[in-house]
Amino acid sequence: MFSVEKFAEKVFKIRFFEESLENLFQDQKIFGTFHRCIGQEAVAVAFTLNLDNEKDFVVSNHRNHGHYLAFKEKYQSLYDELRGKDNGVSFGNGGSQVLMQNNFFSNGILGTTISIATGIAMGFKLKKLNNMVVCFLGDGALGPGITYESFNLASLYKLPILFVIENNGIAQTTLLKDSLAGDINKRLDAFGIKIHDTVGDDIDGMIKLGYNLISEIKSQNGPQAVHVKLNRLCAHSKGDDFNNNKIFNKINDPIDNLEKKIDKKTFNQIREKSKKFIDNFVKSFYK
Amino acid sequence: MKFLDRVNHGLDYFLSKDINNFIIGEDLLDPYGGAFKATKNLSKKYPSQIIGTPISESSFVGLAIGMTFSKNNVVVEIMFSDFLAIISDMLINTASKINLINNDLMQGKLFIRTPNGGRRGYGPIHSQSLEKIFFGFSEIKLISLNRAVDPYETYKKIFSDQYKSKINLILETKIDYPKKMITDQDFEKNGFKKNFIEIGLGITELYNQETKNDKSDFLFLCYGGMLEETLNAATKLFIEEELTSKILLPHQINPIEDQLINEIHSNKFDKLIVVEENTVDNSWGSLILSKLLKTQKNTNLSLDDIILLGSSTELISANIEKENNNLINSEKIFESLVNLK
Repeated sequence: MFSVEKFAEKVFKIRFFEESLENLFQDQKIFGTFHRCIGQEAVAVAFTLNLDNEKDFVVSNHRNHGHYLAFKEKYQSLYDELRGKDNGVSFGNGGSQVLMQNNFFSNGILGTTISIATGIAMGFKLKKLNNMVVCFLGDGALGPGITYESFNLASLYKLPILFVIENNGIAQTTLLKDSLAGDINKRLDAFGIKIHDTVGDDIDGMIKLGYNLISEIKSQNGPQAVHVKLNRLCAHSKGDDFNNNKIFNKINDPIDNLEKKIDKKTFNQIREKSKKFIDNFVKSFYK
Repeated sequence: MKFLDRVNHGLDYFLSKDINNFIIGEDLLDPYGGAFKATKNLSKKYPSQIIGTPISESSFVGLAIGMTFSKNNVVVEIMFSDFLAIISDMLINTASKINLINNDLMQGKLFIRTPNGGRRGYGPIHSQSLEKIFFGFSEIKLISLNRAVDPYETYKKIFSDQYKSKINLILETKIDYPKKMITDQDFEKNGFKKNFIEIGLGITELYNQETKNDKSDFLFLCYGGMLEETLNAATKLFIEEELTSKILLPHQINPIEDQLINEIHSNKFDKLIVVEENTVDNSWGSLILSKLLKTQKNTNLSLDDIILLGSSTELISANIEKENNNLINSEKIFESLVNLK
């Protein structure tokens, strides 16, 4: 059974994982590119919390570390992937963006992943399996046409899929207000996909919504969507753009809200335990 | 039996084989049965296994890829091969990367089949041969059916459990659909004997009846609908000029199989002629040529002995006369070769 302490531990571990990458990159322990999810961790945890991590499926995008770690919790595999080792998530060949392992799939060609998610959900439905897909997409993926083709297919075929739109208000360096016309929710509504609003620091709200939607989708056919406003509290990639990306001023760092929900001593213990957990992985890079 | 009927039988066999086999695409359901009627009567017979789609080629190819994750085999019909440009992203950046990174994810197989080529007056965006987009991607298997070998038998091989390739793109020449299969007797009337080399999906070998083991003037390589144009040119070269030919017609055109290259090297000929409806630049011929260059040291084959023939880079016009002028045909093949000797 879930507890807020367990939730906080998952969030902290993902946060410290993401923070560890900066030094590892600077020290040339990992290479290539990566896209961190600092500030977005609680969404990944909330909407994977009630999934069956053996039978359900998570589809993600380039900003995928949080989704993978929340769902699969295989930190060693992801670190190994980032250093190109054979026992990494994608056998060291996919790197940060392209994670393909059992029931987790991510790719950085935005929009195309949504069609793959619909296909996986279609496979579940045709086989009459009680499994579902959670498909994370960012506001940037609202640009490509294949996104809307896929929403159409998901609704038309009544597929068991939850679209989680992580709207951080910025795609690389382009603000959402400069790239999106109209209204996000109305776009989903036009395809007959029920969409729910939440924010990335509303821990209780997201947990409740995630639980209810996953139960509903598994018991009734048809996709639903969540529009989560949240802040990406880091650069798009490795510090190649403006760092002050807090677009939605009223939305807090989810860790600040978790702190208010847990007594100080326990909160500090969780933070220290999580930090130590990640530090042990990091140390292995310097041996 | 018409070529189209044999394709239809092949698809019928696919659906009958396993309830987890599906065909998806635009306008496939009866009574229409597909733009070229390849799926006619199949949705009546297998109503749960044929899935009609909206006009969304990219996403329904993505849908098919995702469906393979749970052990479904999926045939996707792309209405015209011109639309391969639309789905190329899904095949190159998704399907092929899945196969190269984690081959276990796609537990079923993907078969994309599409009517290819021109000569129907359909104009510039319904007549092209765009398979060149995928040349060089080793994990995307390109197969071209032809009228010398029953497509039903070829599809049975492709749909068999022994056939392992997970990403398959199958070209059916659209002008072949209403035509009958070319029988051994038909070939003999043209002075040719047929032999089928049972390697992989097979290579059809046609040779002037008198010359099986002799040196021929020309060794032709072609695929799909180019069989008819090449055969007509080779027949005319023999009747009018007494120039002999052998034709090699593989089913698999990408990646190029070593067996095809071995066949080229083991034959005796003066000129190697690669014929395709594609344009010559960045072509199947150039793919063959690059393979031959790697193995050239074992033979006496010189670049002067190789001729690549294809269509003009001009627009494929909806004006049938202009279309004929721009596409390679038997007359152009004949004219290109008759004065070489």
